[in-house]
Amino acid sequence: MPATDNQGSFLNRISIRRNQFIPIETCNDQEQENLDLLQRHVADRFADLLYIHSSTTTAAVTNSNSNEHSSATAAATDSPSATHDTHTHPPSPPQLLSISWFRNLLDTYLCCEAEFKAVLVSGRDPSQFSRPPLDRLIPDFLERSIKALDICNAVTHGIDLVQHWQKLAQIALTALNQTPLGEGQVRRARKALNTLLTSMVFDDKENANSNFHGRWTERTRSFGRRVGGGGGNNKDRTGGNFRSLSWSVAKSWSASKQIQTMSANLAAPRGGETTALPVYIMNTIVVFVMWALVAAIPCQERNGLATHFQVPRNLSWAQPIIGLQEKIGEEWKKKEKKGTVGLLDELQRMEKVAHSLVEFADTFVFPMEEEKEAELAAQVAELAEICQKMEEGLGPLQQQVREVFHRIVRSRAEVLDVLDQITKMSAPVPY
Amino acid sequence: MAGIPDGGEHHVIAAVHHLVKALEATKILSDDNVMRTLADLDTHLSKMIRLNEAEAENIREIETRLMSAQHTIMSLHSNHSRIWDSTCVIVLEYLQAVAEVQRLAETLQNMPLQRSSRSKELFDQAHSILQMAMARLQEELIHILVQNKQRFAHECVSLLSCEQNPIYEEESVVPNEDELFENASQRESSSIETEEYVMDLIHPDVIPHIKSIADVMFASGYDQEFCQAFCGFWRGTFAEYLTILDVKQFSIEDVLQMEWKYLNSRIRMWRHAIKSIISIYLASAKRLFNQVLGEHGHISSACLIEASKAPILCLLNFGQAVSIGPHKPEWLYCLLDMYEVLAALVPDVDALFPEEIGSLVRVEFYELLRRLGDSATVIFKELGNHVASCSSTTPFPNGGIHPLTKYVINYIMCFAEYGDTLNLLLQAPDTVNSDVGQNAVATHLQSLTLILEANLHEKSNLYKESPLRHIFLMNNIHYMVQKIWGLKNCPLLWR
Repeated sequence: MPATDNQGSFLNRISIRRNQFIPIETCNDQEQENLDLLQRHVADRFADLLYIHSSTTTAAVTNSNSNEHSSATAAATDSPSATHDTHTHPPSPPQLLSISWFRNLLDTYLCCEAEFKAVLVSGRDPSQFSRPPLDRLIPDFLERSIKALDICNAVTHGIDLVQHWQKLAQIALTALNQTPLGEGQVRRARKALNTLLTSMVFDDKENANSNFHGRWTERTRSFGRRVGGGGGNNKDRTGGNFRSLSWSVAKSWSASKQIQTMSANLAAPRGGETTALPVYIMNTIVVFVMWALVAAIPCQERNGLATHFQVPRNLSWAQPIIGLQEKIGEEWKKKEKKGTVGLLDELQRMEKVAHSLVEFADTFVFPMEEEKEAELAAQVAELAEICQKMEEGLGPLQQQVREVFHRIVRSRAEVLDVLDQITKMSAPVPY
Repeated sequence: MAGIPDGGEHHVIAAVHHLVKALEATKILSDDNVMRTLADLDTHLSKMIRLNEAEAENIREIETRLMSAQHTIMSLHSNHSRIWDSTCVIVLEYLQAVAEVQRLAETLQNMPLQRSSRSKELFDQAHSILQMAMARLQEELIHILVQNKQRFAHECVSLLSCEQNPIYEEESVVPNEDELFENASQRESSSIETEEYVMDLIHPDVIPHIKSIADVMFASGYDQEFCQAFCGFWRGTFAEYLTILDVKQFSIEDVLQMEWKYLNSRIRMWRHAIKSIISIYLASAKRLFNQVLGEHGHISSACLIEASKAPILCLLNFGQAVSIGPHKPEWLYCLLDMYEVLAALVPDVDALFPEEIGSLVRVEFYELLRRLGDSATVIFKELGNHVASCSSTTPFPNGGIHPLTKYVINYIMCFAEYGDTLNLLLQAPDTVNSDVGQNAVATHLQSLTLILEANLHEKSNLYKESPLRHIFLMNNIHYMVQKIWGLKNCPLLWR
């Protein structure tokens, strides 16, 4: 059970506040202070996510071909931008868009959300919720959070798909780790990797608007054609490996459309509106987190994701988010050119290694040259390292996505409750 | 020589070099000792040759066996488009040939396999044959599953759908008496079919075939491939079951925008579907998976979870969407119905999704159960406020029975059906006094009737004529007493 139950105090706070008449001026001081704190925390937390990235980029680029990918300390000292390398043992900073990075991102989201809720409610005269600007902003915020729920569901499903790919890669690994390696095992690995790559292509590109059964048979057929399945009968569903993404959401649902509507009419409040700003900050965070998840993890229909939302550049708390947004946006543009499967670091690497291993298997002749053998060993080691990371990280990541989902549901219920109390307070009691 | 490691071989070669040089240098050998040592060497050498011969013989035998097994496998591959569609003898012959190759591969693995030695060649060949056979077995497996999948759509749906027939119309926001009674009678019919019902998802005759394929694939180290094909098939089949049960995919946004009438019928479908999927389909699948994979530890339940996770999450997601909807009084029965369906499934879910591997689905299930309960409780507690806020400005014509009275009494009468569930829900963890929890429903309903009475008094004041005011009150209170009196199990009187 996610440890999020300590939110109960939130409602108590408002019911106490309701019975006290606090002069508006003192409220504002407190409010301003809370708001400043929220902004600083948001900036700091996202700066951490951004800093983590800039300190490893150089290392990641130079190391991406070798299989030693995780020498964190070395990376920090090598990097020219790492001015903070007084840390003697930093907990190996995760690569941007890697599984660990996303786990940090979701943690950040949960922290910011808790703080936002406190700022939104504590010390506030509840009647403010029924007056501008909150009377308009809160329903808008709640609507946006519903859209985020659907994205959480799609991402949960996407992670399932990645786990499925990991299992296929694991088969290839089992085969290639056999000693001595023979043709049979190479063929076994090639079969698994071909299934993996085919699934990546189909699930990432053709999952847009077709229903489950239609797509199933269609895929099975193409699978037979492409991999040459040894004259298998189409009806046999040798492609039983393919799964449907469509059980998460409705057929016509599109992740990119969802992000688009979420980011539409997201306007920064004009200066001085202390009441509106926290809502705007939280909206921005929600949209950013959902956008990053959709970009990284296979999701139903996500064309045109690069045209991202705009955050005004003059807001100090938003700087790290803007920085991250630009970096991820660049990655997305690269992806659209290359046609890879999703921005998740492990996924991109897996796709690359799988391609080169299939290439190796196609040209495999016995006996292997020493040089080729070393090359193969390096690739197998990289695939093993990726699988290991997925094995350790995907489960907890999926759990975190669910935690985000339930947090949003609960917060929504709490906010609705507050709104309910207000209407009751304002309504005349008929008896 | 098999027993001597590389290091030992080097020593022997060095020693022989030395000996040959020494022998070249000496023409005559007179010493008996030398002669004896050389004779010893001679016997050693001859023994060694015999050993080599034995090994070569051994390898030759492996080769013959491998060739014969390969021949069997290849000819069966090309002569039968589906091996399991032919006779038992053929199947047995095939399985034996594959097992033979697997055994030979194991034997060869234990021999020193130098690069480009004959044994290494045979080892490679054995693995190539195995790989081919395994790919074929995967295809055979899927074929068997597809051919023997039981198409019990009609049987199963009709068995369960007795409660579906009257999809009652909800004309107004305030449900009328008949509807509520209909609702109550449906509940009774739905409680009949909760017995255990495990069915054959696949023709029972082919289960041993599937198991034989599983066994040979597991023995050859191709367990991952087996699970992948097996899970893939069932993943698709569970998705089909959802289609049979008429479950449609909705986003949460869709559900929240749904018309009440349509949503109500979807909820009915949902209750039926989740009950069938968990207590019938998955329970049956669990039995099948255990029959096939039971010997391999937790793999059986891991496969079942992998295959069923997506449809289950899809169903739970619809429940979530309903539970976060607006808290209107007319949702109460839907939420309570959904809650009761899930509460009854708790033991099944605990068994199907055990421990660590099933925790994600299990947590989602409990989370939904809690949310449905919370939402229902909120609505129940709000009923009083809802009644209190029903104010009118004109007197009710002829001092008759006000719709509000009927409305509240209908609710009270229906709560008799949900008594246990409601009591459980109202017994929140924060109520220290268990006495309050025991009759929490009664306490709430008593205050609800008080609110209704107060509201009726308010309404009676709208009459200008005082006799009509009294007649109005009398009519309404009489109606209340009469209805409640007729109830066998009145929730107002629960202790």
